Amino acid sequence: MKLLTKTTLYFITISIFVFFTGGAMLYVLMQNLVKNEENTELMQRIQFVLNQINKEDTVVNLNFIASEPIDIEQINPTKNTNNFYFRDTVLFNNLTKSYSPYRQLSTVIKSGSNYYKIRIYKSLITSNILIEKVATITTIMLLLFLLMAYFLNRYLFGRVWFDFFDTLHKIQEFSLNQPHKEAFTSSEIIEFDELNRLLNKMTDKIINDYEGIKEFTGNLSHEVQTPLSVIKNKMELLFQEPLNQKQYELVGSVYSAANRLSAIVRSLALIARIDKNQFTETQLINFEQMIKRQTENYNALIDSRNIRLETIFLGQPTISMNTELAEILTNNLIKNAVRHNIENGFVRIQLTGRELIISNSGEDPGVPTQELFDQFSRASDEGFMGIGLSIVRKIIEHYQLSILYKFNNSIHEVTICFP
Amino acid sequence: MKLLIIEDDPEIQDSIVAYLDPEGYECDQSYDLNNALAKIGSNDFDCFLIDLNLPDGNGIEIIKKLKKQQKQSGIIVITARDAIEDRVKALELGADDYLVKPFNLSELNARIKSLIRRIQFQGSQQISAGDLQIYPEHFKAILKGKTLELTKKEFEILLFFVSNSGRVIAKESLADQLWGEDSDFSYSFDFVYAQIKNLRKKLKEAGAKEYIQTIYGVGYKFEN
Repeated sequence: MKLLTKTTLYFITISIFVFFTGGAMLYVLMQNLVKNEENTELMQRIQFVLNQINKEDTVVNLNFIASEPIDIEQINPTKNTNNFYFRDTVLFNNLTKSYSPYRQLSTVIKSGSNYYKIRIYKSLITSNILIEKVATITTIMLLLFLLMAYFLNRYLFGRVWFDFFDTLHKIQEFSLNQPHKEAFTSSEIIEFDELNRLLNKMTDKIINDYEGIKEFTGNLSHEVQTPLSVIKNKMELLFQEPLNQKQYELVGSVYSAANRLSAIVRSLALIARIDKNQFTETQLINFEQMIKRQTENYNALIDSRNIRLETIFLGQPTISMNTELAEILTNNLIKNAVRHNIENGFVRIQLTGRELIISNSGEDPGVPTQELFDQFSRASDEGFMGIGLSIVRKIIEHYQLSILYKFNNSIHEVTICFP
Repeated sequence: MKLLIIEDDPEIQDSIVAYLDPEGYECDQSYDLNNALAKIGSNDFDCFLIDLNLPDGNGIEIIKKLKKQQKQSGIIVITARDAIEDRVKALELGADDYLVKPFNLSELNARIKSLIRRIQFQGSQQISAGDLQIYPEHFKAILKGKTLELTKKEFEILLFFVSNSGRVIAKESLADQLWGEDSDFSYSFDFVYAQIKNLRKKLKEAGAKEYIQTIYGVGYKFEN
């Protein structure tokens, strides 16, 4: 969940809770206030009625002095006099032909020897309308406030977190292939400033270490070649001598090991050269022609293992690459497909304007397919497959292409997507 | 045939000389640029082997001087793998061929022979090995008067074998020969075995004797 979404969600939940309880409390409070007001008025009015009764000593004509309904009835003598009772009720209004809410005050008085029950009413329509209006206005105000708070929150969020998102963006853009593209800038906000400062320190360290390692690998692979050359040449001279079978085998093993070591060092040197951006010369690559030429190299093996080779050219990607790297890229993949195949298997190469798909029958590599692209992943024979594929990955990264390797139902499928 | 080998590492120098010795060349050795330039001034050589990365300068200077003298000698350049600009420059200046370190001696031997053929006979030379006649510039091999139907790769291997006849050739050298220097950094001998098998079959069908012997554990040997 996004930071903004999360905070907004919290904000809205808490606001709704606060506003609902606040609104409810306000409503109850208003109702109580109005009721008190009504009660006071009714009490004043009944005092007036009682005064009238005391003064006139009669209940006749009292109806006419009240602006609102009044009921007076004579009742049997009771001791329960001069007590006041309030209640809410409804009365039928003849004019509107409907029931309306009223507040009622009833009491029993003794006038002379007669007992009367008096009930006076006050309409609640106006006060109810008042409450409703106040409630509506309050709700509208609250909604407006919520809305304003929401947008204000978004606006402030954008302003306050701007530096943070800038930092985040730069971290995403960060690549060891193009370090120092953009440094983390300072921020007015102390926390973010601290974050950027630490990130700058960290990336500088990473870049330094990385450069150091690259430099070291480059130097190492260069330096190692001379002694390796000597070993290889001397071994070649040695097996020209008359040797017995056992000696041939020993010499052969040493020579093979020296060659393998040399291949590993060469591939490291190549990776270092790609890293150092030494393949600047590029041109439009004719993949179709290149693939046709490369597959020809494998005819002998394809025939001997009875592998079916299928090439489908549906289009040409328009991409500029270094010829040497493009050659290595496709050749490594084609060679892998032929090499890690089975008797009577197949190799299928499909080229379109957007992608190159190389699929082949083969055995389960036994490790997750993505791991095969890691340097020196020891998937199968002699631990060599990993080097070829890690070079492929390096080239892919260098040209910002994407590669997908799937293994399903005994079929390997490598897809390279061109931009 | 006079060769000048310009290479700063004495071990590699000695190996080259030792491998080329049976070919009957007269090999002279130089370990640095100045020595080599001095030798060029006072002697005539048919073929030069020049390591570009010399302790006192770039071997390209030697090529420049040779071209200034307009000598009709062959030049094979030896470079480190990552010095591609030097390699291109050397070829532009007039070097005939290049080898990338670390190279196989059998490969070097074949390249020197090919270069000498080109210089001395303008390429139109026939190589004989036993009953075989090979015409490198026509990609043609004839056995007892009959032309062999070889693929380009098979022909290349045969020529490589014949150039190094009597020598034990490692299967790694054949793999390099087959796939070129930037093959894929891994040796896959399946390809070599398949090619050799086909080549042997074709030779046998044409009625040749067993020229290609297997040296178990190392590789092959072409014996005529």
